[in-house]
Amino acid sequence: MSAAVVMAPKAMELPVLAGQTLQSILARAERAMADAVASHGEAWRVNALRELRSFLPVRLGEDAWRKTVWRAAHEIRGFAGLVQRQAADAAAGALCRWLDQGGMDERIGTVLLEALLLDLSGPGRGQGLLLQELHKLPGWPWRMSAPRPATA
Amino acid sequence: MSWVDRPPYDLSGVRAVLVEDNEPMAALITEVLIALGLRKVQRFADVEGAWSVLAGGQVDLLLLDLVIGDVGGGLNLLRRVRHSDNAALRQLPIIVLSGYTEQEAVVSARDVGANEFLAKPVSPAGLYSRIIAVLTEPRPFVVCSTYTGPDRRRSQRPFDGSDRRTVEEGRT
Repeated sequence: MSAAVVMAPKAMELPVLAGQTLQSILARAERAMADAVASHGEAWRVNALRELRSFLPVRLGEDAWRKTVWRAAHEIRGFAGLVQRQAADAAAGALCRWLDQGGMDERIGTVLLEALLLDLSGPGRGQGLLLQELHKLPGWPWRMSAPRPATA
Repeated sequence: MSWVDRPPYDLSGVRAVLVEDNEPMAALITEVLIALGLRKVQRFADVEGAWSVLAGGQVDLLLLDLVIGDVGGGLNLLRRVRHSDNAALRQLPIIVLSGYTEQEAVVSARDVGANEFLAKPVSPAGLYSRIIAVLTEPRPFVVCSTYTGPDRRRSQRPFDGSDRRTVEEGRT
């Protein structure tokens, strides 16, 4: 292996912003992010659904299905930006169990997306909707309860 | 000093290029960048459009999705920057934004020369901290036959034998 040359890149001189705090700037950015998600809700949904379709394999074994759905859920979480990880993971887990019994269609994908997007307006709400909707699907094999508050 | 303990920086002079082909995600990231104080953000959905601006050399920061058109699109652009004939462009700070967080994807981006890898969904705080880090505290930049990019060694460990590295000060 040949020798390496190491250089010290010049740091960029950034002026300090007077009259504002880092916390106020980050809070403003959080609001901007929430507003962007809210104002493009339908575009998010259409895009995410298209991406979800692209993940759907024609014929895969159980492990591949599982990986595919986890990836889809992860990707959707990325699109949504503010979706709670816990809800996305729970949704993906429920989907995996269902997919083990059958296949995936647009309807289940739509339900997943709606549920995840609903989490934008309140963490945990999407998970409840997802479970409720999954029970309506023909052939849904699992009896599951919506999450209950933890008790002491 | 941690970035949290520092006063906020004025990012209005930072010239950034965002390459993201998912329109809603591009819109969201742009809104966040503007809210963080950046005023010069150019957005591209394709590699060639981005390259036409990057090649001009008037860019301080590249924010790059891994999947542009196809899975290798972002990596190809990253590789192109790191192997540019323009020495300043070669050292351009690059932050990869991706929903693909498998080890394979992260290692690929690192090995092609990304400065930072940020998993989607990104948070404004995460984005701000990475931008400040790559601009104000750039890691040493390594050029050798098998790798061009920021030093991948985040810590110094003792080793036996002679150091094959030759140190040069400042930009080439």
